[in-house]
Amino acid sequence: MEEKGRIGIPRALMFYRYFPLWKVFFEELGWNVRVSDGLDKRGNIVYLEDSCFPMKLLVTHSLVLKTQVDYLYLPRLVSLHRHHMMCPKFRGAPDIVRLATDGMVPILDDLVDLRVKGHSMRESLLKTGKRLGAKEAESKQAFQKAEAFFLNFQKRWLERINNLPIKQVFDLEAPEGVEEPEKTFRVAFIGHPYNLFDPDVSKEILTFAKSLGMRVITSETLSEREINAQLSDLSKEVYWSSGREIVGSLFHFLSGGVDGMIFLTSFKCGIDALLQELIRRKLKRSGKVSPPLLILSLDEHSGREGLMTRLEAFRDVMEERRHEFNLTYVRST
Amino acid sequence: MSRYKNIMGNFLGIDVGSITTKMVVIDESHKLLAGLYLRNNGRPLETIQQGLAILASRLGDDQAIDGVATTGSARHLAAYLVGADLIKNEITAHSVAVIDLFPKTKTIFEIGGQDSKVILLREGVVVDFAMNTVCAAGTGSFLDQQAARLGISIEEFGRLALEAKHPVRVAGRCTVFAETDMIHKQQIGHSVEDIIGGLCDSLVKNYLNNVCRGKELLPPYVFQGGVAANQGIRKALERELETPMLIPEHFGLMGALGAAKLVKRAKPGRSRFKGFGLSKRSCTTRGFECNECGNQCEVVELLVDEQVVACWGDLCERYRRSYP
Repeated sequence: MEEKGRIGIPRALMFYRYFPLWKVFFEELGWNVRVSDGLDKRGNIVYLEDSCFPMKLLVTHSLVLKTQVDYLYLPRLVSLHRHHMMCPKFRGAPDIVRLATDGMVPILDDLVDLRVKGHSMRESLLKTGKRLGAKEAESKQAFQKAEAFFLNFQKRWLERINNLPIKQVFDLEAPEGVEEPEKTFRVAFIGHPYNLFDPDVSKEILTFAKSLGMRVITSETLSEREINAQLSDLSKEVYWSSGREIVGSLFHFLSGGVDGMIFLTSFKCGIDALLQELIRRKLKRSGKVSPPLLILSLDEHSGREGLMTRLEAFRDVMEERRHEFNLTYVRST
Repeated sequence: MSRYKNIMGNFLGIDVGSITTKMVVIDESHKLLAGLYLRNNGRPLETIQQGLAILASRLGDDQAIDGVATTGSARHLAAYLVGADLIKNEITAHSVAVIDLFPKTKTIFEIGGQDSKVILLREGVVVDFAMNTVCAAGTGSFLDQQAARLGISIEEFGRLALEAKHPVRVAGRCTVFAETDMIHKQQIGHSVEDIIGGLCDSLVKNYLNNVCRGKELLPPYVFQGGVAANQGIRKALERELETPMLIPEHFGLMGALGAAKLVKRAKPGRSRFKGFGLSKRSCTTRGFECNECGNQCEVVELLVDEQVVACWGDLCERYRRSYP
C-alpha cells in the first residue's frame, strides 16, 4: 500500500500503554507512524508551565515531532473507565501541545470518554480514521487488527518487561529478548505507566532492579475486577482511574504474591500525593506481615545514585525478611 | 609481630560521604583498632589516600588487611580505588553497626553531611527506611554554613544552642528561608544563642515531618552520623520525642564500622585490597564524553601511576569491560 503520510506519536504519557494499539491502527490505514526518540543526555526539557515532569516531556516530544510529521496523534483522554476519570491534565493535553507548537501541525485529538456513550477508544479511533479520509469499513478492520495485536502484546507483557532492555519494551520490532535467569525476588513496580516505563523519568530503575535479581511485576497483569475488589472497603472512593489502578494493585500485592513493592511517584503529581497517604494508612493497619514498600519520588533531577542506594537497601530488607520468615517456618514445624 | 596480626584477621571499612570520609579497622572480635574522620574538601580520592596514610602510620605499614568494604554515596569510586571486597549501601551498613551495639533499637536517626535518613528496625531486622529526597535542610553542610556565617566553630554551635533561654522561631522548611529568618531575628536583636537554639528546634521538626513522615517511630532511638556531635540538635530531638537518644561512642564512624563488620561476615577468600602503599602513588581521574550513541555517557577513568586501572559511567559497559 502506498504511504499516505506521517503521523507522529509523542513518546510520553499514555504512549506507555496504548502505543501498540495506535501504531497498528494507523499503519493498517496506510500511514507511517513516527515516534519521538528518548531524550539524549543534554535533552532540553521545555517548560511551558510549571506542570509535572511527564507533562513537560509530552511538550518536549511534541516539539521534536512537529516539523517531521503531517499530524500529531494525541487523543483527548478524559476517561478510560466507565465511572472514573483521568487526571485533568489529560483533558487539556492536546490544547497545551497546540499552544506549544504554535499550531504548526494539526493535532488529531478525538475524545475518549468511557463515561459517555459513543466515546470509547474504538469509536474515537474510528472518528480519527474518518478525519484521515479512511472509509468506515477500513477503519473498523484496522481497529480489529490493532486490538488483536494490542491484546497479544499485553499477554506477553511480563516477558517483554523482564527480558528486553527497558528502552526496547515499546519497540514493536524488537525481537522477543533473551530469557533472563531465574530471579531471587518478585517485586511489584507500581505507578503511572509513563513514570515506570519511560527511562527518562524512571532513570532506568527497572534495568537496575533486574540486575539486582528482581523480577518485575506490574499492575498490567491484573484484571479490573481484581483491582476493584481491593477498593470496596475504602472510606472514600478513589475517582481517578490511574489512582484506582495504583491503589488497587498495591493492596492486591499487599496480601501476598510478591517479596516487595515499589511505588514510583512523580514529585509534582497531586494524585500520587493523595494515594501515598491512603497507602500509608492501610499499611499501618496491615502490620508487619505485608511485604515491604518503598516509595520513590522522581523528578527532573538526573542523578541516579540516590535511587540506586535505596534500591540496594530495599533488596537487603527483602532478603532479611525472607531469612526471618524461613526461621519462623522452621520453628513451627 | 606482623605474623600474629595475620592470624587475627583485620577488616577495613571505608565510608565516603558527600562531605566527609570515615575509615575504621576492626579485628576479629570487632574491636576498633583505628578510626578516623576526615573532610573531603571536594577531593574524595586524595582524602581516601590521606586516610590510608594515617591508618598506616597508626597501625604500621605491614598491617595485614583481610577484607575491605566500602559504603557511602561514593562507595563505588572508593571501591575502584582501594580494591574492595564488598560494596554496600549505607542504609544496610548503618543498621548492621547499630544492631550489634544496641540490639533492641527500633529507630535509627542518621544525619550526615548532605543525607539524612531514618531506619526502622523490629527485632533486629530492618523493616523500613527513608532518606531525604528533595531537601537537605538540617543536614551537616547547612549547619556548617550557618556556623561559618555567625563566625563560630561548628563545635561551639552545639554548645551555644544549649545556652538558649528563649529559642526563637525559625523557618526550618527550607534552608534559604531559614537563613533569611535568622538574619531577620539578628536584626531585631535576639541573642546568637536563642537564634541557634531556634534553628536546631526547627531543623529537627523539619526532619521529623519530612524524612520521618508516616513512619512509626518507636524507642529505643539511636542518633548517629556527624550531626550527632551537635548537642543542640540532639537536645531538640529529645525534646520533640520526649525520650533520650542513644548515641554510639563512634557515632560518626558507624557506616564504616558496619561496612567492616559486613566484610568480616562475608569472609572474602583473599582480599583485593591494594595496600596502604596506595597512599604514596599518584591517583587521578579523568573523564570524557562518549559519542558512540545517543546516551552520551560521561565516562570516567581512574589512573594509578598514570595507568588506567578502572573505568565506569558507560551504560553499555564497552569501556568497563577492558578492566576486571
